[in-house]
Amino acid sequence: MPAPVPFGQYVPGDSPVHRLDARVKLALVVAYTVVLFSSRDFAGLCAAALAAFAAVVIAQVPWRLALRGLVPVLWLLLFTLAANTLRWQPVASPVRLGPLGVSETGLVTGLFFAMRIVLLVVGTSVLTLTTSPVALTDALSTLMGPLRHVGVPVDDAAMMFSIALRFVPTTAEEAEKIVVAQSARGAVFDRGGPVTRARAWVPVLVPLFVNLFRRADELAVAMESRCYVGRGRTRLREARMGVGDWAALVVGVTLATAATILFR
Amino acid sequence: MGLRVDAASFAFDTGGPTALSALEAVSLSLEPGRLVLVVGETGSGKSTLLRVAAGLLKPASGTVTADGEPLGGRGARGAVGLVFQDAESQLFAETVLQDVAFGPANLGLSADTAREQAGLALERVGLDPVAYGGRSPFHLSGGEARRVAIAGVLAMRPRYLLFDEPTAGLDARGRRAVREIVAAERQRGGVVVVSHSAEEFFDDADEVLMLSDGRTVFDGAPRELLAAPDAFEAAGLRAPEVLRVIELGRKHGLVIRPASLGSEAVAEAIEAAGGRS
Amino acid sequence: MGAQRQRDARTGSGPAVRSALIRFDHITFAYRADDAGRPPLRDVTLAVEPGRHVAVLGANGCGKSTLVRLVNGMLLPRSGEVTVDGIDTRDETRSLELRQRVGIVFQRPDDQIVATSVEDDVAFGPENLGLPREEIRARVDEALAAVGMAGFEQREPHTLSGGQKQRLAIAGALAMRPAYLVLDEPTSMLDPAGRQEVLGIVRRLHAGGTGILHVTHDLGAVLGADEAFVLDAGEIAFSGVLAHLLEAHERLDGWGLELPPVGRLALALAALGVPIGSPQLDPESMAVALWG
Repeated sequence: MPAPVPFGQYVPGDSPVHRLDARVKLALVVAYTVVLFSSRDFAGLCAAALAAFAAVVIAQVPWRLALRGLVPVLWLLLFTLAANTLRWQPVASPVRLGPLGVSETGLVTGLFFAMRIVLLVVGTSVLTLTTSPVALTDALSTLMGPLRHVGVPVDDAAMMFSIALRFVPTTAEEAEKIVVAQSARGAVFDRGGPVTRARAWVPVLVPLFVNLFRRADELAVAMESRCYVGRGRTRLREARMGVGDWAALVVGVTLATAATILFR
Repeated sequence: MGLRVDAASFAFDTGGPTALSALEAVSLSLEPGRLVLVVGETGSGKSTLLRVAAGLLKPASGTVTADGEPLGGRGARGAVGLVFQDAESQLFAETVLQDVAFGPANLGLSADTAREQAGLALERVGLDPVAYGGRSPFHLSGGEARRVAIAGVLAMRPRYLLFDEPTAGLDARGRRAVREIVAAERQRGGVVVVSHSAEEFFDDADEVLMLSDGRTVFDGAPRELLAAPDAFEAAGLRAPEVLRVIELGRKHGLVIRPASLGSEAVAEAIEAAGGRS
Repeated sequence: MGAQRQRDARTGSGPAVRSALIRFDHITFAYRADDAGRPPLRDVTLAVEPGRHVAVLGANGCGKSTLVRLVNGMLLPRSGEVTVDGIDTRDETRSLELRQRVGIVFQRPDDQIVATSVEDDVAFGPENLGLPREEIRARVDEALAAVGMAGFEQREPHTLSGGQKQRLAIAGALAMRPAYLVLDEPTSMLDPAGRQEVLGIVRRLHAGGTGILHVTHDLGAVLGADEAFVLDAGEIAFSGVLAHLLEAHERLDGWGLELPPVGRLALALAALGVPIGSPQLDPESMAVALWG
């Protein structure tokens, strides 16, 4: 039984989207977001939807995964719809639910906002599903590189992020082991009100955090022992922009600019 | 009576962060006063077997009972205690006594009774409750922390005790202290020890269960295993070093049959075999 | 200034090397000023010459891990001097150079692995030295081959076994092309298979000329050592050839150490009057001593 894929997490593959340089993907997502938020009406959203649809298809990502990111925001979508559509004791309304009425223009607005959220989620899902966390971190730190000159600790931040990523699976394993060990001592985690449940996690969180702090110390010693000083580092792998990457970037930005101008 | 695992099977599970090895129709039977040693390489299913025997994992097929009562997936509620690998990583409370009392308190005992049982458990692992009770569990040596963790399980007064690699990572003194605890507990109830170094508990064991790839490849008295040491290699294990000496003696045409793995017994067997060049 | 330091560390050059070895000279160390009564280390003197395998044995808490952190300047001694190839650990201007010369492998495999893939972790050290990409690539391949993990480049650390993780840690140290390797209980958290893997690599490295400082409580792990020291409550209680340590086996218990199983067998055989010459500690030597 394969491990379930959490929302938005990287699924390795060999599609053109997977192979696209991570920096280009980031830039295109930014451009896509600009189009989404500068669109005045549904025409702009439809253009973005076309782009998102094409991306999902070219990336060979199963729709089930691409849409899975919508599950957490379902409530937000419903709320957006409701907030825009429902009216309190309106003068005229095609439908009534007690004191609540419905506004047609409100419904349209609500749908617009909701659709925008959906498109935003799907677009970023394509990014995270086709780009490994490591590639994303590398891309982000490269793109933010110039900020070094104004004193932003880009390299340190990238290193911290990369170390955090490295330890996610390890820490998850350790947490599970502690949960099982405490369960064997009779600890129960799923009973009682919110306060009881929160207290129940103390025997898991305390050892986990103590271990994490200890590990951070040890890791720092190990890193310094290998001459880490935070500056002057070179890289083993440097992503190089190929023709395809440039082409995708140019085409994407051009289309996005055109769409922004057309639909704003 | 006794702790019985009957033909338990468990499928290989990669659903969560930790993969659990498979088990295929493995049986384990433990009576009070006995020590069963489970050996096998990493991934052979030893830890999975312990979790099943403790009632923490429901096997896909087969049954687990403690003194006739079936153990549910929720744990044995005190009948079976499991000391996990690197048990000291479960310490969390402000004081040693509070940590050891955690188990009994969860069983529904009053705070006073829990503390009392905790104090007795600390004594059983060789730590003076007065000296150690008020200390922070995070300021102990590795060996002390491990013993506190063991006390935390003993305090629940289980009838059967399962130890998963209890001496791993400890130095000579630490290992000796744990061996003494295991020997003492074996007198009180039944004990199962999982160890990837067979030497340590081999001679104390009444029975050795050898697992490989989730299956039982040997189940019998230690003496029988000594007579057929190839079983170690077949299970992907390195035979105990003194057995390798005997194996090399076999290449010289000598038949050496020690009564146990203890140095004296092996020395006697070597002497008896003669054949010195 | 920083760039020069990095260049020196890279090439292992710098001001003339006075004496090529790791040297602890009358070291005293305490974690807190008020611990002056019982320092974790008291008047410790020992040296590791190039190409020699030196074992420092002792029970947990004897001060041996402190020694490891003193070697590369992570900790500084209260009195006395620690030098590596003539560089004093107190000399901050040459600390990078020093750390390039001494590779350290710690006890817990997970606490030394920093990157999300095997090759990235091995590359970590060379990247810190600012080496060009081709050089880093070459060193990564070389180091992984030396520990028998060529082909593991893209693996994620959490998918590795304990033995593999420690081998990765060794590769990470080797990628710095150190003159000395310091091992702090490298096998105590490993299963027997992992232990064998790691000890095999240590033997190969020793044979290849790397100086090794092996700190452990496990006598069975240092059978190939040229020289052994025993640390007891912060003081050196024994120094000499490993064979002499075995002959002094009655003292081992007091130091919190014990003979490996074959060593105990040797004692039992001697007690029975079976002559086997000097105490043997591994099965093969024992078989030869017994039956030729």
